Amino acid sequence: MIEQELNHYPFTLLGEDARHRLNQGMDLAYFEKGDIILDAASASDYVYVVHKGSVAELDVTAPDGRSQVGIYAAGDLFGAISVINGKSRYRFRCEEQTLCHLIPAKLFLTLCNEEDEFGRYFRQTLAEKSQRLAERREGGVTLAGFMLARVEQCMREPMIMSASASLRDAVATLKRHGVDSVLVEIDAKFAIVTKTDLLTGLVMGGHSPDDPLSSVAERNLVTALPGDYLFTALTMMTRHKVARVVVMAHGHPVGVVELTDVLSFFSSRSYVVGLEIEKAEDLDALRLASERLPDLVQALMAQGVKMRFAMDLLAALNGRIMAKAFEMVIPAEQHSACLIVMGSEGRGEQILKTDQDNGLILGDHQDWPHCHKDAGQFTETLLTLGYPPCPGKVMVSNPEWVGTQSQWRERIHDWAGDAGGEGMIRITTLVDAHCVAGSSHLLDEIRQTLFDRCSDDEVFLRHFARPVLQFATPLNLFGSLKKPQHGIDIKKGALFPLVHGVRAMALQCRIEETSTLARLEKLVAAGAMEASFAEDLGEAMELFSELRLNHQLENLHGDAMNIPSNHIVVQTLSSLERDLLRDALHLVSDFKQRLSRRFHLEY
Amino acid sequence: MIRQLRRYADRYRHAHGPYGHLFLPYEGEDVVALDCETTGLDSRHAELVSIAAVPVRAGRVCASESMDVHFKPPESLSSDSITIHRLRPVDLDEGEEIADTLEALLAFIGNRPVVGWCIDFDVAMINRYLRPLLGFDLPNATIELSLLYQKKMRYWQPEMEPDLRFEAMAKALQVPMMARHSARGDAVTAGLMYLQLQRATQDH
Repeated sequence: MIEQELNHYPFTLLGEDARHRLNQGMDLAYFEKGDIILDAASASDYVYVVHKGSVAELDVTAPDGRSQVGIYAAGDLFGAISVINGKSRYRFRCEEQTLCHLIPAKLFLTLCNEEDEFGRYFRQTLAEKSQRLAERREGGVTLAGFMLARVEQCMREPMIMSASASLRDAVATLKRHGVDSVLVEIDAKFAIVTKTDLLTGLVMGGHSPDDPLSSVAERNLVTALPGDYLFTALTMMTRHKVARVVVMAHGHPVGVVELTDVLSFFSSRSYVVGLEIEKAEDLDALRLASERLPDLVQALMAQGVKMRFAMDLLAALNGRIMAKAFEMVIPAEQHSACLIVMGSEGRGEQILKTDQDNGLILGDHQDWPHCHKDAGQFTETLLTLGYPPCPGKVMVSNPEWVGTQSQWRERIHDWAGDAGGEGMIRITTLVDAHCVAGSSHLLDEIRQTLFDRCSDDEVFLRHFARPVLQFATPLNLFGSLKKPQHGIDIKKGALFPLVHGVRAMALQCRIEETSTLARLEKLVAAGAMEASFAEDLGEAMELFSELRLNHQLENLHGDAMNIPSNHIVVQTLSSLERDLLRDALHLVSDFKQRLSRRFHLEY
Repeated sequence: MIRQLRRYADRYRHAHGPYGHLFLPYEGEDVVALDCETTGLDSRHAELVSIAAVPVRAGRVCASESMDVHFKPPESLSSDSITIHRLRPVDLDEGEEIADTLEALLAFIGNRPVVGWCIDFDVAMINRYLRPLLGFDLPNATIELSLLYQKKMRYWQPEMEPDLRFEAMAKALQVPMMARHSARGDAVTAGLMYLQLQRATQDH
């Protein structure tokens, strides 16, 4: 009777029979605004599925009494954990009139036991759940994109040589152009010579390097048309056991499709973008390469690449772009200065281009008269490359972020003394500093100064860690429920407390790594955090970044200078994503409590 | 008036028979939402296709305890009614014998009040089978949803003429339509509407 209710995850894990039983076994109930459907620490007789309305999940043990940890809307399921564990961890309060389906606890447990997949879903940890999300997302987008790609999107220029050219010439050509095969024109027909052909011909066939190419060329070509589907080309390669297909148009070769190209096309062309950056010889070429990054991100995400690998790759590419720009703009004799990036770039967690946060550290004896002018030009260059300016002026064009080592040391002491003011924000920025070009030891020494000054200063650390609690008044976390379209601010509500908390702990433990995930690993190694908790935090972090990224990609509109908002409308997420988000937010609230104990933030 | 007299007569005759308990006044809190699907809209000629009864208890529609029976296809199942509730004769092949079913239904409902939209029609349908079989009409108190709704609406919005159609009421009360034109779905919807109307009583 209510079949349509059960067509979504996790009910799709159930068999036909079980779903029917569930259908027959569910009750319905209305709850009024303000009703407490399930109280913390009480046992539940039912698992609830929201049909209409919304239910808030409150943590009654939280310091401020009833901070909100989650919101459940139509299609969501809650109370399952309460039924499995025997009692509820949180309080569930009805936010507006809500109609719930009630699955009796006994029926629910029977189903969990009988249907493996279904039961496992509810016993899974967060990590396993996001794995599943990735699995589900895979397939769809990429495969479709791959299936529809045409041969011409993925072919190389052919290298055509005359039949009389020698093997030696061919090898030289291959080497010069970095390709794997050449085409040979023999009597107005075409043949192919590959590296393997050359190798076999020279070593096994007893040919000398001066023999003509026609002696080793393969005359039976496997050909395709430019308009063919790439997938057809792949099929041909498989069928004919070859690694390249020649693309012919009107009897003339126009390109070659290589197996590695097809595969790298499939793997989102990351390698190609990397190559382009390396090959770029002027700023225009660099800008073209840098414009391709958003596409690359989109492709990576569509393939379900894990967030942390995508972040690593992007950080590496962005770092290379910066370094290239640095080499091009800054005079060669000044390359010993250390260019640092801070903020999300410094942590390597920047996926789309965020604003530029960078600075320069000069050696104490470095003589650089036009430093300010050059630095200003560097900032301008980054602007043209698509990195928006930093609203807080954390840029090399600002003399405050350029200085010799001793100037930096002075600054650190100044800033750290100014606990609570601007200085604290600057220290926060500086802790994430990461060197992208120039001599990195300058930064390492500055970092040591920073640790010496701050790591053992309890009072300082307390001030440093305080914003973790400040930013996150969790009731505002989901915005006002009456206007759900406002969404939640994922950056302030979720990412910031997590990242800053980890940063504070890293500062205390003198950890030099700057990425949050690496810091978590080091914290585990230093014994400051249990491994399982760190792993879950890492997963939560990835989830937040991913949600934020998806949201930003949707709002990109091709305008690179526009930094998208961080508001995520919970209701537009799929119920599995909402479920994950909830779990992750639980973790963050746990983490905040730990931090407040560790840094004595209660007072 | 005649119905009242008939009920007195029924009670007099059956109070000490095997069905005596049905005639006792009910003292609990439950009601039973009832809905019949029939082959037509005239209770004198139409035939029963299916009956669903769903208890409503303590603010909950206990759909899990519901009773939902289909009958053997009557001869008069015409193509007209198929278009109303999308039951084809095939669907009713495994229907049960009406006599057995009615007894089970009586046992299920007991002396609880029944609630429904145009409940008189449903009760009349049941009575047409029940009287020849056991010699009495369904003795339960009935609660007519549309009347209840009309009363409420007159109180809330006196100047408006309430729309008493089933769908319109459900919409006004913000009750989602379960499966329309299946006895069980309609009974659940009716139960939900009843709950909404009850709540309104407590609020105002």
